Amino acid sequence: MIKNGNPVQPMIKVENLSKWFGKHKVLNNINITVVPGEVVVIIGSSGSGKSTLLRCINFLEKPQKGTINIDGTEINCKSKNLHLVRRDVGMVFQHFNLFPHMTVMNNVIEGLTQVKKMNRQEALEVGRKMLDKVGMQEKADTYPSMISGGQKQRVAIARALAMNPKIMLFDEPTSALDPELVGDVLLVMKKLAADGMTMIVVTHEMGFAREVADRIIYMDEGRIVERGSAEDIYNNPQNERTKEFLSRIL
Amino acid sequence: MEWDFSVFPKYFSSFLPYAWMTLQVTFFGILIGVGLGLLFALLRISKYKVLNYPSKLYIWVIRGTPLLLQLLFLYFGLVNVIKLDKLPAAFVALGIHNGAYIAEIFRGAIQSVDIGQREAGISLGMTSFKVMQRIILPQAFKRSVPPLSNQFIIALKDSSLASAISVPELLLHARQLGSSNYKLMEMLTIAAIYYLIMTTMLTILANKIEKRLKVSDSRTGV
Repeated sequence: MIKNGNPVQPMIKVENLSKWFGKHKVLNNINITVVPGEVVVIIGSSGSGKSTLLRCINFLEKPQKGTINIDGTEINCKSKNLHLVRRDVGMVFQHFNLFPHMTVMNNVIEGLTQVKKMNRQEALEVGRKMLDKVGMQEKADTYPSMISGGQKQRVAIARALAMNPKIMLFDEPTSALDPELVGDVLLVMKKLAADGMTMIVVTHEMGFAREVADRIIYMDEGRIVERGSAEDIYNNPQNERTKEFLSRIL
Repeated sequence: MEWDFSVFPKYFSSFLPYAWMTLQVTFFGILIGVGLGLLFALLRISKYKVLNYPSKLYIWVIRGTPLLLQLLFLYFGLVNVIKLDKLPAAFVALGIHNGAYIAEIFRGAIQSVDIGQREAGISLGMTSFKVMQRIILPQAFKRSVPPLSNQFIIALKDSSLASAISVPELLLHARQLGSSNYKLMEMLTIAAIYYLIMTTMLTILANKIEKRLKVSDSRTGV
């Protein structure tokens, strides 16, 4: 890996990853390397395995084969202490998954007080910073049921960021949102990318992908069919399936 | 049948200590029941067979046999194994009985919490135990309130079966008084009034708790 002329230790290295649901092979020998600060966008039609791949990276799904290396720590399907690795990997879900019985602020600091054992005062300090970052400080004391989908997703991003992760994973973060709410969430994600966060994003937002992605990966039937810069993929797709997919969504 | 209203004021207050006993049997029955219920609900959803099989067996046996039988079994049947006084026997029998139903209430509530909640918790680096304690159970308890209050009302009425092992509670008192003063219908009516007052208060209390819990709850659950 060379970045700016220097060898760089990869932040994420996925090697020979395969996963079956029953007899159905959903991931077929996946290899990806992501360097620190890189933004990788995974595209593909539904059922292509892109969400499953993302969920395998923090072991929400257990792959049957292969290894994942996160910032030098190798994990596989038999690893213990997965919860220690997961602290460093922030995850943002399509359906937000905020904790409905906690206020916005308590959602954000839950990981800090319960997992990192930070005292409440310090945690609140971090929590305010994170909510400020996503423009949600005013809603700190409301419950998730009282805010819009876009706001929920921004809180969910703040919750993941509060853990100070090395990597952020986004699983179709805007797919469940009303169109007019998508922009705010994408804006937060763009800022995050500009701040140098290592990100893997599964999305259908092609404009976002073009603007922010260092690399785009196109998946089909559990395989990586094509990868390259946004320009390469959009303007000059090599694979027939990629061409067909892009012609349908662009 | 003649109704003798004059006996009402005369006997009404004599029921009070027996109503108190009914409340005690109910309270301890529920207390033990909630403890057992939570324990067996957690065992029941375990992926390990050594844990969930005993739980299945417990629920199957207790829900499949009558409470009256369980009471008699515990009090008379196990005399050579453990000798329980009638009061502890009533507490324990009612507790074990309610535990089976409450276990199913908790299990249903735990399993109704969206899988995404668990995923969000473990993504923050929580252990499964932490997720259960901080994320799943608080939401599950909230959802358990309506079926639980229903179960508590059943428990209150079921406490009358403790009269079969001569625990001095409302129904026993009504029957004993009735057979000595030949005013059984009137005595049963007084007991019924006591039961109604207690179940009504329990219902009102449950509604209040439900309302209070709704404040933070969402319609969508997200």
